[in-house]
Amino acid sequence: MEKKILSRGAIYLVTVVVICELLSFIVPAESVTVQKNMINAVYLRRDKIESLAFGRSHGGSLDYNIWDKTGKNLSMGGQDIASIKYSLDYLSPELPHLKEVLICISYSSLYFDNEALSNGNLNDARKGLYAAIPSYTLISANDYNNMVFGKLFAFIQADYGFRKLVKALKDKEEKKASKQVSHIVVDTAKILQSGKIDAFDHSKDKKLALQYNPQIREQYLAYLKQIATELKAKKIKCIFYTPPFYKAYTDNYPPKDIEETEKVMAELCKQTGTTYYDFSAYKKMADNIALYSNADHLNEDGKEEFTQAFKQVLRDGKGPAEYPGLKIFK
Amino acid sequence: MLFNSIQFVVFLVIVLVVYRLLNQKGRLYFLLAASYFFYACWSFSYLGLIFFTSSSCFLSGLLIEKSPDKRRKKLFLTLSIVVNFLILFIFKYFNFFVQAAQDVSFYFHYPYHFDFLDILLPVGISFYTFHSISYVIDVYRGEVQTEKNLFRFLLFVSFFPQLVAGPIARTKDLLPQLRHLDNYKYENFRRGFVLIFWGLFKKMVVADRLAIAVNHVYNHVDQASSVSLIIATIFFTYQIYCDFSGYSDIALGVSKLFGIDLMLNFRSPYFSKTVTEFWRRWHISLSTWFRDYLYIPLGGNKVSQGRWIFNTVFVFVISGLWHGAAYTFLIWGAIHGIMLVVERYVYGRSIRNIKPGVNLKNILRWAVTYVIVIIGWVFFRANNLSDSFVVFGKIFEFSNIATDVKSLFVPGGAESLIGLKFYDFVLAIVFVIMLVTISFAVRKTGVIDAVLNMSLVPRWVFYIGVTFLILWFGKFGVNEFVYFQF
Repeated sequence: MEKKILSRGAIYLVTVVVICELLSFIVPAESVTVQKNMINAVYLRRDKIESLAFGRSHGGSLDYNIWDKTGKNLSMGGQDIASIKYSLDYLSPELPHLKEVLICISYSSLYFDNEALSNGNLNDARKGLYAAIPSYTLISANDYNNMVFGKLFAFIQADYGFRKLVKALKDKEEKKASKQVSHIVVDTAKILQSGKIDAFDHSKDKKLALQYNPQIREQYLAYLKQIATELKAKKIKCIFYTPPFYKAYTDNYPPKDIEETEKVMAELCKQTGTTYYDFSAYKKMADNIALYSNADHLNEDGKEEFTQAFKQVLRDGKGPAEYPGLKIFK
Repeated sequence: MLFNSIQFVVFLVIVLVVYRLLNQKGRLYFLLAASYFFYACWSFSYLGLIFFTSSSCFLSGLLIEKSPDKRRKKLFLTLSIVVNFLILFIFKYFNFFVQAAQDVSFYFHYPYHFDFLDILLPVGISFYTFHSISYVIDVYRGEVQTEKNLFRFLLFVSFFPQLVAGPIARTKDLLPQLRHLDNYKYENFRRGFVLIFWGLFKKMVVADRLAIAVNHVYNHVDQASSVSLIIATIFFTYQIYCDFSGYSDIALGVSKLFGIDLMLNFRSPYFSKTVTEFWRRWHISLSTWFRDYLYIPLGGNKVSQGRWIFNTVFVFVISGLWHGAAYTFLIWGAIHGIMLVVERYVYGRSIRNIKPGVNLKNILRWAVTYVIVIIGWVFFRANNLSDSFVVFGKIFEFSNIATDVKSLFVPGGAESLIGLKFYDFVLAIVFVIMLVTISFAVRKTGVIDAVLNMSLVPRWVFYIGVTFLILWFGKFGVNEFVYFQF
């Protein structure tokens, strides 16, 4: 009798797993595809990669086409500090020529908790990372939900087909629209127009509020310290930076979080011998809305200008006098 | 630890494996330990409370049995009921009555500020308190054998599949089954897993999707429109059904894996043709509990007409309060109680003999019942009494209906109106229609038996199909079951 239970159970499990694997291959979830492609791209050029960049979506502001070194920007919406550590643990031993790691610190980096939602980050960043990296260790103790879903059900997105369909239609519309307008200024314009400037404040956004967890800061700082120390031991330079944000974004973000981030990053740099470049209020860019696709994300022109500026600061070691608004912490 | 979480899957697999390795005695202790662990995952500090409730009822049972005269038996029964209801009262109703007293003092212009208790409501307290008390009453009535094994009795109260949200098991059904903890049987596993999958489908695919719209609208009723409130209210009727019956199905399924049958809690309640019939199909374990332990002791229907009306309405008001310490639940219970009285006058004694079948009369009866049940749900779901009146006021305003309906089909319109993306809104409707159609098609046998009676291929298509419906369309966030709050 029990043999029958076990055999039928096994047939059921094998069938489900086989279908899951097939679907993960045929229709992988977007977050999985993106991260798998990024990790694969690094792995394929592992003998050439000299630089890697990480961070939440704001990390996308660094353009490797202009950067001095051969590298890959692995930043992704929702990527948290724990995930960066996880990725580095896997990647750094594979990259013999890695010379520098750039970590983007957003205002939310030390406060947004991907574990706060059992479903992981709102955009499934952690599930994607688990699917992309062939390791079976957990990012953090309670993260097995993301690990199981990322490893086994990598095809899953809520309402997969429908979301895909809607997205495809939307993309088509946006493509059409982008032909007519060179710079899409989406929420910034809308929000400024409506006068609801506090929309930049995560405490007023229900979805973001779910992830806001001030208690996570110490844990993330410990990870940052570990990253900096381990990279230093391998003679890899670790650079922290914050890209420029449009001034309305900074003005309406909870000031306490910004001040605290600055304070703890300054302390971290002192302790680990690293440098933190804070471009968030870099005057030349913070006042110019034409460089943004929305309040806190640079568009292509903005990325180019920021990368050039960052390169120059690193190369010439020019201080804040030449770059009004830039803050450097050592 | 929610039934729809990975933690529970891991827990269940471990419990099933270890259970198989043990002998009869070991199984009893192990299931008890597993059940207490399950409860400790909710609240470790309240473990003592469930232990106290169980052991006090166990002791009362023994004392009642050993008492030589009826007076003393009654004394122990009363003591047990008073102590346990007092605990329930302190944890669940104290603040409600204090608030009510304060409201009254303000109303009569003698404002008085009372002190409120700062305590959390222990999860499942209403369920396990009723569960334990029914045992003491059964022993007092001589309907069941007194349990001599404390551990078995503790397991009877805390058996994890039914611990936090029922079904409220009866002594004569559950306790004897715990005396013979058998090996696994293939048939039990088959039925158990079908129940679990069907329950998960109802909860994760239907209820949790509908909940997004319901919460969006009902948590901001002042900003809601007529159309959004109508949609959210209809959605809530299916959300609450799928949520609670889904939970019950999973509870029945998990229990069945261990060879233990729990009481059926739902029999397609929305196909009821009268409110009276609705209560024979909805939350059956609670409605029969109230029938057997409150309504009948009050005299049932073998009393004067006035007393019978009082009995009926009183029982339903108490049933409303059982769900929560709020005026909204009280009104919800009263509406159902009054409707039972009204139906008795409309249908007379023939109410029990309404013939089934799809005909115009029955469709009309069904429609009237459905509307009454929906009206009741407004009170049940509203965050407070004033919100429920706002809901009715706005629904019957019928303002901007055409504009709002049109806006559902405009990009972003559904999301701003009911908090669901358009495709999610369409999916919600598709799944509700699918559920109603399936339930109607197999209304005689029920979904589970219909599946189990299928031949091999369609049955396996069902297994795999439901699995992938859950994996694709299920909402995998932290979504508690509605009835956990009771």
